[in-house]
Amino acid sequence: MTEMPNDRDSRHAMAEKAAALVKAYRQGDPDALGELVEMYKRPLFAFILRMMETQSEADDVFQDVWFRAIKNMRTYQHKNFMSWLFRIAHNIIIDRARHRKVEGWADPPTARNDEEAHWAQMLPSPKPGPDRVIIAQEMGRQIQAALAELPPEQREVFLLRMEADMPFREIARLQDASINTVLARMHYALQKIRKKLADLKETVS
Amino acid sequence: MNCRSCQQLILLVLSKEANAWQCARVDRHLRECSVCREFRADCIQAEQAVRSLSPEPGSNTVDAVLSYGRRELIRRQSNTRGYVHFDGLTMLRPAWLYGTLSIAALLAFLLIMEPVMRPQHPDVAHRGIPQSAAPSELAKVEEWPDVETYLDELIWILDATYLDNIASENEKIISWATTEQLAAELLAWEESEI
Repeated sequence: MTEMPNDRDSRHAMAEKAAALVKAYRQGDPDALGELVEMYKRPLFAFILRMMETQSEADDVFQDVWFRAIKNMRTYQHKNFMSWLFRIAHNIIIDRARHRKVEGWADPPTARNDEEAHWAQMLPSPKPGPDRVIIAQEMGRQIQAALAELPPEQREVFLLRMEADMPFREIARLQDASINTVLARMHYALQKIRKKLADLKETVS
Repeated sequence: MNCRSCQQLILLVLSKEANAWQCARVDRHLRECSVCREFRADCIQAEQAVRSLSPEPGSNTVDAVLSYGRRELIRRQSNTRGYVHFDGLTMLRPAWLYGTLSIAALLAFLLIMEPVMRPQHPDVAHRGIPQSAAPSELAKVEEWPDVETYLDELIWILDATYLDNIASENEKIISWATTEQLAAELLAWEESEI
């Protein structure tokens, strides 16, 4: 019923591949960087987008994260490239929030009409029936709305876990908190999101 | 195990961080608890929904990153031309390496030659002690740290000589006294014989 712990081998394999690509790039192979960006662009950008206000701002932060990573790649010593990358993103997002003198972190976009269209574009495309597309769109909107209402720490835990597939132990290190705190944050976040999804389920049924 | 603990363990199981014992505990609880079964199902559904909605950065953004990466690579290669690379470590440029080695060799030479090049002790020069005997004589000089001690030592030697002379004079007196006594005894013996 539950996944066994040895399923984490794929995560190790990915970390090893990233380490090999970093080494290749340091030795002068520009294609290795292309592969690295391709590996991490989706979870990284999704995380940044939901922590920032707009798409253009998310693009800027995405670039900054990679620029900083590339600059520091020569001295990179971490075991886990993804954790390192998300730590850079976490720091840049906090810096930007401080720079704008915003209390706490940036609020994610509320569900506006253009944002709804944006979410709709990102829905799975395996040619489902129109009703399934509508349900998925609605689910995306509900999750987006629930995320907007979450405190920044809970939102970050949820996104790092769900988008980046980051283990809770890594998230705890990144947030400088205990694993129990991180699990509690995730639990609260899920409770709110589940409430939104429950409303949707009732409507659909 | 209560539902809250089970739900936290479910989170660990889904993130593949739970050990076999924790997995077994969750399985046992889920068999009996419909609330936690629903929680688990919702977690999986939320995860799938979030991941299926994952946006991607614009192609221009990715291109900018890649071109920056290429530029940085070229810049690094031109800056580090002449350096020695060893698995991520950048060693010194050869010119700097040779320069450092030359300075180290010069310092080592000066350190070795320092005793030879040291100026002579002024006391040694003043007393005219031969160059070859300098270290041992210098040791003697260093036993008499000042002139007073030196003079004391000298007076002691002179006193000793004087006392020796006195002693030899006393011996003479003693021997003389013995001779006189002997002569007197001889005279006394001659008179008794006569």
